Amino acid sequence: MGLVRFAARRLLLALPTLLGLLVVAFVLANYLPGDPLARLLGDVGGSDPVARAAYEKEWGLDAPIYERFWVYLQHLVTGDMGQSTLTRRGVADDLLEFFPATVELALAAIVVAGVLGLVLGSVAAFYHNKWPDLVVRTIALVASGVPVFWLGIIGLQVFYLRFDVLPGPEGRLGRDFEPPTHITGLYTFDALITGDFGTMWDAMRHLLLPAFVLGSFFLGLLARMTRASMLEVLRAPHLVTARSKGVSARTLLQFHILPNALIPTVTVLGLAIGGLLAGAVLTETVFSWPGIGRYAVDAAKALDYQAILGVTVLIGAVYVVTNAVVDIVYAALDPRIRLGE
Amino acid sequence: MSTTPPLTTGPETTTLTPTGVKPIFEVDDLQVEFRTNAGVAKAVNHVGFSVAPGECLAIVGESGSGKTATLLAALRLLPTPPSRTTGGRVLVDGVDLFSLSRKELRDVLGRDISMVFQDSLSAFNPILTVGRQISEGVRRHRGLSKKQARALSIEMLERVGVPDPQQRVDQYPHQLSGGMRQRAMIAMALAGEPKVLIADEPTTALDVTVQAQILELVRSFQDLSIVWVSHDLGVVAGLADRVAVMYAGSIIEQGPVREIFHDPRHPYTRALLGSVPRLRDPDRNDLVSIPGLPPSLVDLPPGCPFYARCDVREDRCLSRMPELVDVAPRHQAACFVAADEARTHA
Ligand SMILES: Nc1ncnc2c1ncn2[C@@H]1O[C@H](COP(=O)(O)OP(=O)(O)OP(=O)(O)O)[C@@H](O)[C@H]1O
Ligand SMILES: [Mg+2]
Repeated sequence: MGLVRFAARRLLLALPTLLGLLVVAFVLANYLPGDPLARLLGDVGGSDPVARAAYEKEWGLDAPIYERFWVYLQHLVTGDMGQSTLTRRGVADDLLEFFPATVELALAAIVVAGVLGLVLGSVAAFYHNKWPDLVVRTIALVASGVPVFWLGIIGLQVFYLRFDVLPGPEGRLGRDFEPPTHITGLYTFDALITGDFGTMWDAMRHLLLPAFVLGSFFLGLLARMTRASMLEVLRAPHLVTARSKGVSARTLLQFHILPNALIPTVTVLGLAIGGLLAGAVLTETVFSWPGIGRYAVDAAKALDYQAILGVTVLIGAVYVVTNAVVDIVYAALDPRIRLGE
Repeated sequence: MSTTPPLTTGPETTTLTPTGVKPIFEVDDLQVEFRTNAGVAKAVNHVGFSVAPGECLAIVGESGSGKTATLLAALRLLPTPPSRTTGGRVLVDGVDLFSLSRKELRDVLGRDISMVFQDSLSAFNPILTVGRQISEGVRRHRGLSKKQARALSIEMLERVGVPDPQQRVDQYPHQLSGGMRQRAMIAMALAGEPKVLIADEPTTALDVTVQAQILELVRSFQDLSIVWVSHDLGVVAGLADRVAVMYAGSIIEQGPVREIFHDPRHPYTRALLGSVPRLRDPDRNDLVSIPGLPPSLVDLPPGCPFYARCDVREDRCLSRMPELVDVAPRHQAACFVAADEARTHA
């Protein structure tokens, strides 16, 4: 079948991209300043030639860069991403701990941006040049124009300090709540699964404002994209054909307007995932969100090069994989892509 | 054929066609405007015509003369805004389309009257299969199941001469060749067994051999009443019973096909036909270009819109738009000079 072959080919194509990503990340991390060994092994170990030599040998640090890359790859496939000098734990363990918080935040942001962006964009298109259109266009402009940092602080000022309807920048849960049993690491989801609705509600309240702030840029972008593609579809000749056959209003919307208009926005959603991970760095800082963004900032400040490399590889991999998935979804929606033009 | 046809109004509100039969499709005094940045463009001005059962009426005219706007407005398919239908009446088998609710209109479209468009690629929805689109309207009209609808689509594809209909039915529009796609669109339009088929330049985008095949196909549906819009006078000559010529949003001449070609009365029609020496010569079949441009539809002059390009113009042509008057049996032209000529010859 067309789609399966397309998906297989697209995923295969992602492999060289991933490898390229690894190479670039590795080379860049290699040129970070500072003496990572000294940091890793501490004051005593760092000046102990025996300890240095043992570590250098394990990671091949005395070898040329391509050999070290090969060693890194061998470790990587076993799930070992080296030691963090900052947390003094395995980078892989750190990532496993911090990443779910970011995933939860990014997913919430995508839901907010996706749902609101699509709805607002559609409303604007259906009321083209009337007041709802103007309102949406203004919202979209502001939402994607305002810096994340500023928006976060304003949001906290209003909803936390002024009206006290949402929690402050205290992370993922209030002080009175314990994290739910670890299943996926997404608190809302885990709490739901374990039936802990109090915790779930608290997690959602903590998620709301950061998700809005993080998603705002893509909310604006999606609203404008949806509006534009919807307007195009509303003018498309195939709609006249469909109406000339006397199909129902529902068929018109469900089969001739929405799917056609939504195809271009899928591409934007794919881009959004990469952009959201980048935006997470700022948002997590503002909201004390214990995610990968904050971990990356801390690692960068401490020149923790294994950790920086690990974060880069992880985010890059997420980016490459989501891009492949978006392409596959795109092909599933549009037979012209799937079956070749 | 017989003696003077009765041109009186029948017992109902419906007028009779020039042949004396009750028309199946009738457009009366249709007026359509487009709101544009430059102002209100009067794209269709008091257009009226009728089509008898089994008859083929061709509408010809330069690009922008309002052919598409007329037909789309008649079926209430023009987007509003920017368009506005400011007057007129459209009857399909006696049913006044302009008095119907949206829902009632949907019961008529695709069932009693349907349409074929010029660009088959953009007229199909690219992300739905051809088969789905062929039977989609009929599915609602007749309450068909998915299976029945698919069977109907296959049958229709077969009837319009698409090979391998069993496979084609599940393909997407872009997988069909232009000619196949145009056949599929005809299948789509005829799936509901309509009485009237409106075809807006359905063969213009096709090469000559495919064009001929499509024409042959359309001719084979003998009971069908057809309104055929075309630039191609050769096609018109071979297909139509009657011809209506449009200029700047008005019908300026209409009559039996032979009369229009051999005895055109309006100076515009004459100019159009002026350099078509051999109607069958494929390279020379398109409407010729006449020096000058049609007037802007935004501020149409009160007089004849063809005045500026006309070689028999007189001062009285500036005063008001000439009406369509009989210049021969079943043959009308909207020209003062032509009307005078007809009177002196009579
Ligand atoms: N959506 C629109 N907005 C504004 N003006 C329009 C619109 N559609 C058509 N018009 C105008 O109405 C007039 C008639 O257009 P129409 O498409 O009916 O011409 P046509 O005779 O079908 O020409 P063609 O042979 O090129 O198809 C033209 O002057 C055109 O500019
Ligand atoms: Mg047209």
